[in-house]
Amino acid sequence: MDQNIIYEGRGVTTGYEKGARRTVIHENLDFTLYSGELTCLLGCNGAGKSTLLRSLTASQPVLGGELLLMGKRLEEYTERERSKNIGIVLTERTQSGGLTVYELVALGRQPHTGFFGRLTRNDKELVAEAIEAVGMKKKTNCYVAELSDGERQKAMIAKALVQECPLIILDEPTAFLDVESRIEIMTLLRKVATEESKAVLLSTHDVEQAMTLGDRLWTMTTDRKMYCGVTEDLVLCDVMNRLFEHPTISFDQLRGCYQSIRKNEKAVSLHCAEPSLYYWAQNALERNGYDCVHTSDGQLLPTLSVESPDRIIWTKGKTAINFGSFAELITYLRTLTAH
Amino acid sequence: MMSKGYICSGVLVVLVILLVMANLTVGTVSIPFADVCDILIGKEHENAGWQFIVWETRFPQTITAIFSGAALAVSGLMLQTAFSNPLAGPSILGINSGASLGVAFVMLAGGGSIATATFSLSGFFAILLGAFLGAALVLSVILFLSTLIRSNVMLLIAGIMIGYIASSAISLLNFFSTAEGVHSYMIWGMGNFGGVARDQLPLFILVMSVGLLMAIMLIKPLNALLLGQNYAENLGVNIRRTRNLLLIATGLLTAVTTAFCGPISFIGLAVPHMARLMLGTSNHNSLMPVTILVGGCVALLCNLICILPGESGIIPLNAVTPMLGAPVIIYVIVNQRRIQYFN
Repeated sequence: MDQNIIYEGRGVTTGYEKGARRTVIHENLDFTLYSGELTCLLGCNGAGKSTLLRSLTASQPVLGGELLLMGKRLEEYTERERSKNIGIVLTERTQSGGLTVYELVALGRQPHTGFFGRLTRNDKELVAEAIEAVGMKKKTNCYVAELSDGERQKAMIAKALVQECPLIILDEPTAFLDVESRIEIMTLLRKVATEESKAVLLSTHDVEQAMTLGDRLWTMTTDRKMYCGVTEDLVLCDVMNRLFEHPTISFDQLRGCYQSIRKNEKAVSLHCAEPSLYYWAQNALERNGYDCVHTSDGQLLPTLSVESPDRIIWTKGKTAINFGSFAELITYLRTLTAH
Repeated sequence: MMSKGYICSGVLVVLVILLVMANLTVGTVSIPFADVCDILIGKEHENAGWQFIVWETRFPQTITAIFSGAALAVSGLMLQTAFSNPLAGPSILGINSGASLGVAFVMLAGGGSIATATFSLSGFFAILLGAFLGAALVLSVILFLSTLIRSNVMLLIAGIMIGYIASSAISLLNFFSTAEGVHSYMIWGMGNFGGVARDQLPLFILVMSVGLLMAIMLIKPLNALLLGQNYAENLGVNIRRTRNLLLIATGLLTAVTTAFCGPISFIGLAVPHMARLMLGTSNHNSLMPVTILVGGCVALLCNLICILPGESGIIPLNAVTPMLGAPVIIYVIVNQRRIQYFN
């Protein structure tokens, strides 16, 4: 697929300027957004995610550098032109409860409609299509007040879709949502990016979703830098570990998630029939004070072999004990620690 | 959804016509309905007194009621949307009081020689200007405060405080004024749709129409503002220009109404809610016209109640509007969980 550069930042400095006081948040950022890609912006609270997003949407000026939207400098756009190029979705609550989903989504056509905002037949078709695309067709005539948080977010995404912008920027679209709606929204955004070949940029705290569904990650690290790249490159180059500055939290490259570092005194040699058994057996052991090692040299260490969830065998020296479930195993391990 | 707007508008237009007829018929002098109709269609009536009453008093009063009601209601609607606060309104935010202060300043400085009822062109313009400047001043202060105060409730309270400051300034002015000045100010303060004389009527209608037209032209950005400032900006709305236009339109409508009719409470606050409850939408496409019509209806109804005692006199307008307005607001607050536009 042909990838077009939608947005480009060169040497961008973000921050606030109030009178003579200048607070720089990030300096010298370079980044690019491509059409058809879902880009996820990661960073801990206060890392400057929202500041960057606000700078990108021209809600706040940059302190230095150059922003090029579709090859043209961002400052050169009028409000109306900009509204046809960047669609935004925010977390803030709106006063739109008294509108129907249809009316809310139709507001997205405002940049394209005339003085009184009357909708043409084409506009109406686009609105209906967008509502269907986000899977809200049944709720078309419902009041926004009657929607769940996830559905409101979907309606707002539909609003951004009918703006017909090549770029959609979302500020934490999955915050406050339950797991189900989170995955739904992220999958929807990915679909929007690939099927409508839009550039989608979103900030999120949901690292796992970002790593599975995001084409590219922008990772804001604690040393006030931002690393941009394809997910796998960043993960394997150990960038993810610098996302948080916490001595006891580290990124587990194998599992792709953050964990608190545990120092276990005891170790066990683990053998499992399947990877998923290994994963969960390790989970259970580490939680209960055992590190897992791969040696087959089981002379000194106890050995645990898991053949199926109900066939768990613990061997130490010459004694072997059979367990029918992890619950039994854990109870046994606890009695060992108690001695 | 659109058809509901048309049905409501149709019903309201009929209601307005009925109320206009009632307003023209009822009063201190009882004139039979048939004779009122004769006079209205331009027939020369044998009773010159009746003809004079209908044309010079009741007709201007009725028209003033329609426009003032519409103006206050539309101001309330615009303020409620602009501040994302369903409990905003010209009287709550102190804009009425600001206009009153302007009027008080002019009236009391003039020592009672200036009043809207006595027609002197310069005095009349002075009052109008005073009201507009007062309203604009308070609106600017509120607008400035709204950038500092994020909480809606706090902003309302700030508005109420500004209203108090204006009121106490008025009291001070009263203290230093002549008895005549205080008297004419007090009469004005009771509220009365009869403040516009027949020959002032064309100008009054013109200014009001300008304000109402501005409001209608702001329908599109007002709809965008339902999503909040950030979303509206992203939809191509020029926030600063829209805010200024809202300020001018609201200031103009409130100031002119206040200058002529006194500080009328509750119409601006309650009527937008009545319109929303009727329509079940906060979409300004249908909400704006219906608010205008409901405003006209409510004002006509209030005026009718004021003149109902007939020979025994006229009830002050500000004794009637809270009776109609306050229950609506209480109903809305009590039921806010069930009413969509609060959520």
